[in-house]
Amino acid sequence: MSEVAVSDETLMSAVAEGDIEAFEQLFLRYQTAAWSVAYRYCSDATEAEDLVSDTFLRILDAAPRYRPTATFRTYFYRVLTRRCIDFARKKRPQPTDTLPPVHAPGLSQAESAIQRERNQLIQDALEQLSQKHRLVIVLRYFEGLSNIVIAEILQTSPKSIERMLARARKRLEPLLHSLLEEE
Amino acid sequence: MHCNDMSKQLAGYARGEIPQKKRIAVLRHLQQCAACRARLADLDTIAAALLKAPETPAAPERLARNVMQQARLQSRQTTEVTLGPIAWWRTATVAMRSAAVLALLFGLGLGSLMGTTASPPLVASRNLEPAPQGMNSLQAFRVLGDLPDASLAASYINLLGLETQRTEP
Ligand SMILES: [Zn+2]
Repeated sequence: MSEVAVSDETLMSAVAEGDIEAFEQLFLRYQTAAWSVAYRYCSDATEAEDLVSDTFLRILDAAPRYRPTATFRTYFYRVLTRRCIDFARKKRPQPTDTLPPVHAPGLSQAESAIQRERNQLIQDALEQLSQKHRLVIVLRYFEGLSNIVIAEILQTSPKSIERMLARARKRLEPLLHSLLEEE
Repeated sequence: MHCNDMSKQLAGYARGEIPQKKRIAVLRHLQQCAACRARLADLDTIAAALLKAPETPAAPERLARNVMQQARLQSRQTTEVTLGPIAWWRTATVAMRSAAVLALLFGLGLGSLMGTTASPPLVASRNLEPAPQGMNSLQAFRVLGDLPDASLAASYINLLGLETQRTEP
């Protein structure tokens, strides 16, 4: 197909008219981002799945009221991060299903074990952060979003994002100590 | 993306100013390349440490299936709730429209039949005049007077008209 890709905002107006195919397009564009944020944020695969479903069904539900005042991307992350914070409020004390083991192809068993250990260490460290700080860290480092975009998503100023990042990093430093020493 | 192309991107990443289009490529490279991570560590130690995490595994396959299944269900329910009569009319097929017209006329016809044959209420308000005897309420609607002669509605009116004439003393 040589067609120019339809913009997210156009797809969203179609969703508002009840076009479920347009919704599927948006889902396919954003599911990876949703999953990776939820995965890093929750440290629990079942919760991450619920969070992603919940986010997209919210977006579908709110489509008739959607006004493209910000880009759809910002709107999407806004819904997602709100769901993250709401989820944490009703979070069960014990994770029901820890993150699925990471299988990178071509890794030996020993290498896989090291990767799993690193992953666990990082997730444990992230869990020590407050919800907002954890979100800022995930959006900035795992999603690679700029401070300006993160500020738009969390509806605050880039300065305040910088302050949150500085505090979160200070908190993470001793927790990631063993990773900082490596290499 | 190549290690050579990363120099500019590393500084941007460390400052939180990564260009949107390069975001995914830069992240993927950093997760896979220890050399570039070491260069990043000079700029941002925490970032370099976090990127030692293995790549996020793909979402389970059932996720997409479940979301789309629920979305279809949810959108069907909202369509039923939010579609008003006018919106319904616009989206309805010819067969659905004809069925709706028939149902409406049948309802009107049945309603006026019941109106002429049912016994009057036991207690009527003194201020209300009783409806004129034998007058078919349906015929009082001027709009229905303009119905095409051969239409189904017109036949209904005629039928009702005959019915009321026959029951008149
Ligand atoms: Zn490299």
